[in-house]
Amino acid sequence: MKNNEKPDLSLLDNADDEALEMMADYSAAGERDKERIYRITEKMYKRKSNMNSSEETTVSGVERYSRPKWYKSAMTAAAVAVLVGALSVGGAMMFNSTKKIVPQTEYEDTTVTEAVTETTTEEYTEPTPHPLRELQLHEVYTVGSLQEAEELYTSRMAEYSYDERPRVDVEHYVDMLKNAEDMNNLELKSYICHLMLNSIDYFDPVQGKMTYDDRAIEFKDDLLERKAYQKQLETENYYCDGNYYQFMSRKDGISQYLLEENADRGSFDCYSDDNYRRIIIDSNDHGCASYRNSPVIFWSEETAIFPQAIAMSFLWDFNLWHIDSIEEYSGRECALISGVRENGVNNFTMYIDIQTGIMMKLDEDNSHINIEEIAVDMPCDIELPDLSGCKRIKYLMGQNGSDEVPYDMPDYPSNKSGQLYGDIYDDGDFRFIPDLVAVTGDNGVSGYLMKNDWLIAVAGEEVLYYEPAYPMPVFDSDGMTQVDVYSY
Amino acid sequence: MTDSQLMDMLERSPQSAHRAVFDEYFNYVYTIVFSRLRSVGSSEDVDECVGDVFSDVFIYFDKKHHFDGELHGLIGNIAKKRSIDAYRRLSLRSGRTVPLEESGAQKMSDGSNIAEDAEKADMRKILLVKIKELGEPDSTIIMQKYFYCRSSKEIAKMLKMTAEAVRMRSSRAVKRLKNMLEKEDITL
Repeated sequence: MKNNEKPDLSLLDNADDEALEMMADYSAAGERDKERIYRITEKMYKRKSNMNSSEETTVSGVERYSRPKWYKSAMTAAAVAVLVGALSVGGAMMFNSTKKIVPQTEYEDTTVTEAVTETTTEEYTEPTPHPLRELQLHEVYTVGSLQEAEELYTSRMAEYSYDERPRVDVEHYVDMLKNAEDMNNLELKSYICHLMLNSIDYFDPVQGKMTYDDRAIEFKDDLLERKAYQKQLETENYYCDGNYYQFMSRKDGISQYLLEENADRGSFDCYSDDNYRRIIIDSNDHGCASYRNSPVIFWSEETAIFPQAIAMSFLWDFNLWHIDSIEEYSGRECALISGVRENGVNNFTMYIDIQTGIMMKLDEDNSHINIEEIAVDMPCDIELPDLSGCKRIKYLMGQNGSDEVPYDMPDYPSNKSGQLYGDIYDDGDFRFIPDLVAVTGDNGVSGYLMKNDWLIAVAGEEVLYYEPAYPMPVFDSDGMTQVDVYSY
Repeated sequence: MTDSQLMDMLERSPQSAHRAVFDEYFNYVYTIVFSRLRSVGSSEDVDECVGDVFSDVFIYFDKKHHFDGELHGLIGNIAKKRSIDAYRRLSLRSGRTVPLEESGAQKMSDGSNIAEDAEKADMRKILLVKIKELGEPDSTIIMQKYFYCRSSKEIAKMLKMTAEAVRMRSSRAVKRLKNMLEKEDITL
């Protein structure tokens, strides 16, 4: 092993028993991965058990279960949602991986104590871009403690790939909504609530203009391509190529931007069934709400584009709202909904797109959200921001621990492509690696290695999804002209 | 958990027993599977194989309602068998030819192979001892980074450190490990 060369631990492959025992002392996977593997195990066990059983199992493709022992409760007006934490499953790929985890459309309720009538999918069907899922009729669950709520919520969690987001039969429910004598039945209200809780499953690119109180916002979101753009007042945000850029005060000519590299937006989403997204806790006035992660949508437009929080806080008690009519709003077919908040005081009206669940308009006493223009499933043109002449900055916490203050990076020059170049900066506290890192090539020519190449060749890092060329090219500071090679 | 405790638990609540077995043997099974598949499979292949192993163990409990001998050995054997099967399957998928000995089948070869195996086993043991001597969190960082092939970011999440700290510790630990192994005449 040469200096700076990464150690080869392939000696540990096919290890003998004694070595395996020693290696097993180290954590093999993170807790989240472990839970995911346990769910895989349960599914396999169930499948194998059924194969071994002589009894024939009826499969219908839906989960169906009796009510848990927790009782259905009328909502308490003072219920306050406690954010348990949005859960995401990062791309915890250990090595090259091209497969996707098959979405799980059924799970077993292990907490049910009453007789259970359960029919679950056992046959594997070819994945479709958006597999069908069954609509869950709305019920409110009340438990005695936060711990019970978390257990209940966790027991119903499943993992889905963003590329294969399952949908209910939209055409069927839109047709029902348009032709129903009574639009305010449980099924149709559940459909509206479901769409809002899961709107990101019902569109791919979406772009438009909206106002949030006094703020004007332009947005473009492409979930499949993991790209997003947003502009409002003095800020512009981009999410492209796994990086998150935030520009501030651009109009003043300062052109500073924050860059979060390798921003982990994940490929998978982990969440529970609709009815478990908010669970009431009757020992106090707190509830437990769990929010899905959005792969790219920025927070300020999320309230409208992905109105899960609105569904949980405005619509959870079906007795407090009703569907007035189906109307067109900003070019979308919408359900006009009116109701009163759980505090019994604030009245609201909202327009919900009945194809996507996007909240086109909300009027509450002091809050007004309005999507003025929108295009759904139309190609989005989202490009990397132009970084020429811009200065990258970083925020660090201030001395009093509460203020964030701008902190300039080491004064790296940048080339025309906006790449910073120079030596790595290590002040003992943190290390900053520029996009092009200074090295001396095999023939003694000074130049720069691309950051990923430097990480592999010099720092001995693994860089996921990156295949370096050997020998590695050494570039001029423009990042394009090769001046030497670097052998590794 | 002793085997008799597990028996009791299986009687009372098979589901709880499954979970307990999974928690207790997860690292062991994952390590066996990973060490066999890491050269041919993806992380999903490893996950599936680990699921396959535990579901086999649970089915075994269902059928036998008891087990002969120690649970540790039983689970280890199932894990080895399943991971060898998966290795063969994955190698076929990738068009790779799998020599019999590489597939993990028991080698009943001549004395030179036995000597070679024994030497490898000794080196492996020294390597693991030296990694352990690095102390925590460095030994975990080295194992996670260079055996489990996890990124600094993932390791940072696991160890509740910053990715930068993981990078720094890792590069220093590699140097220390190199020096320690050189004294044992081992070059990786």
